[in-house]
Amino acid sequence: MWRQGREIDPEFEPTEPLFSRCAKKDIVEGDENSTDVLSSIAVRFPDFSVNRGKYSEPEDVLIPSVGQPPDIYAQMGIVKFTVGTARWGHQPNASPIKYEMRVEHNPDEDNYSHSEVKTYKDGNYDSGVKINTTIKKEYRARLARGAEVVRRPAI
Amino acid sequence: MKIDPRLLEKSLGPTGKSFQISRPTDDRPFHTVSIVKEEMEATHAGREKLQHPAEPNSTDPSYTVARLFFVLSHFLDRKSPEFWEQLEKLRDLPKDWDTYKADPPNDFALTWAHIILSILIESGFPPTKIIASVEGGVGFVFTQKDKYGDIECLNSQEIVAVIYDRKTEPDAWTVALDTQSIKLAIDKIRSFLNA
Repeated sequence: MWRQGREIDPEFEPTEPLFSRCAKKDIVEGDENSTDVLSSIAVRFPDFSVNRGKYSEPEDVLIPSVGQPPDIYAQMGIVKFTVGTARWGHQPNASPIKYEMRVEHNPDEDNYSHSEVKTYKDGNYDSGVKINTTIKKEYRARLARGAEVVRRPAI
Repeated sequence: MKIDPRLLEKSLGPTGKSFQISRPTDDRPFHTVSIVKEEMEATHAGREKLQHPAEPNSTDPSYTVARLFFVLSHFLDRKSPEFWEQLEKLRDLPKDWDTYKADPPNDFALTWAHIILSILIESGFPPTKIIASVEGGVGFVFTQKDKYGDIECLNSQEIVAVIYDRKTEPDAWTVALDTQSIKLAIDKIRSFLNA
């Protein structure tokens, strides 16, 4: 997990898995006829953090950062989705504005795999970007639809 | 939305005045409402220019009436108390409740969430889950096998809905702030889930 001086790796294959924590409220548990699903209401926008699978195991998202209580995330669940799911280009009808969701490697000293999904507007990043609510909803739903609950949360 | 004037009178008395409303779950007072006689008469007459003293800046008739409905709904006999309790719990969420700086649902989101829940229960289509939105607001989740739908009342004074399953791309749309549009959105979700 430690960075240990390693450089940023900007290359992401579309099939590379990304991992994120989830809580019980974020998912609808499946039964014999269905699988657990992540609710789109639990998907953050415009930016959110993930661990990239190329440099981590799914359970690594449950490891607290330095200074946090050791068991803070122990009862939480894990969701997985691919880089291809997280990436999205969208140009509303008759609009010259183009939105893009990109995945970027942004390592921490205690978590080399740390990455971020960020929203770009016309090629520029702005953390406070304002986007039409319906477009946001569509993206959040796309991500939730492509997510897989790999560990069911206990809390 | 029409409010039965008899209900107003029954709830607020013949002259209006101030009333302290208690939470239905634990009797702690949470809201003081002042509605004067003239306002009651305005509602009697069906006029929409109803100014709620608790929201001096809100002149949007649909919002004002919705808020009034929210207050009155606490007087009504309620079906499915478990859903109302889920919704009431969201009122107590602190700021940064998700540790990612999410805001708790505001009055706008909670007011419209109460209206949506009333419609859902009356129409026999209860949600699978009621949760706080990480975008700030209240969300109603519906699932049926691998099909999914939700309606989100956002603090930003918008309501959005979506449907999708594993085979079809998400269909997201904005819901207008009136009960007819909400009913249409609910019908669309129900039809999708039951198809």
